[in-house]
Amino acid sequence: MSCTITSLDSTLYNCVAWAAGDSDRFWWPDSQGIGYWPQNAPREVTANAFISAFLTLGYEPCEGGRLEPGFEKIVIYELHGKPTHAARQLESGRWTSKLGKWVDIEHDTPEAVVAFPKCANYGRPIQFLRRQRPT
Amino acid sequence: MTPTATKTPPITYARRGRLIGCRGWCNPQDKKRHKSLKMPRRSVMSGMGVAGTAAPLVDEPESKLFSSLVRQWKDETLTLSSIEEIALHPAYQRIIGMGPAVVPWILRELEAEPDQWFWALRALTGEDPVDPGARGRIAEMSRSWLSWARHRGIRW
Repeated sequence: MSCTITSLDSTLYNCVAWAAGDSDRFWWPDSQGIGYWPQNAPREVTANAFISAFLTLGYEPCEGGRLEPGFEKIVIYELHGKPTHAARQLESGRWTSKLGKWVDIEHDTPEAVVAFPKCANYGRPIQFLRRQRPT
Repeated sequence: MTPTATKTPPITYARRGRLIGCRGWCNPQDKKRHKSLKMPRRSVMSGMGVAGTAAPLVDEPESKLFSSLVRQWKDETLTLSSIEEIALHPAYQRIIGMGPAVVPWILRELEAEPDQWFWALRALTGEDPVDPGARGRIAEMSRSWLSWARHRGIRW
């Protein structure tokens, strides 16, 4: 099982933004209105709010993270009942994660990111979503 | 809202003498009057710190303590995406607890590397010059705060 760093560090975007395909904004439904959050999704730190955010991008809930040709998947992580992280599946079947304000990495499985240094507090994958892979 | 659109009077803090001498954080008119005054050293009470942290707790010059807390905060929030967790980190909260005098230092940090300083700036100044449409755009939000500070005559 391996993880590969694929970018320089950046404070300009975070994991949720990266999973959503946005490297220009920091996505988070904070109560202070600092982070970006889709208007049609609840601005609260809950799994439902995160799922709603990805629904606005055309994703739908699905079972598991196995590679399905033609589909792009994302996964939401949770620790102690709160969302912590999101990752996106690449066409290769590997996963890409932006680690907070740090670097992007690629990892073999959704679970593998937790083994990366300083990432143990991501908890575990709790919800997969998929959409037709953009061409 | 542009920084000039705010109705809050500029830097009332300095008039109360709380920020005098802190890297130009004062009204331009007050500059001459306060020129001879220096930022006092402040003792940080033992026991206010966070258990297990590396930040010094007592009798540390403010700027050194600030730098130490910034390093700790950046290191320990590196992989976090949660703005609440980033802002509620003990080192970040201690920085806010240092009061409005640290605003110029935060602006310097923000200029050097845009980062999640917005929560602290809002808490310390009671203002928010960021356009709602710029939410999440860290570089643009940083520019808004730096522009706001320039309009207020704050130097860093």
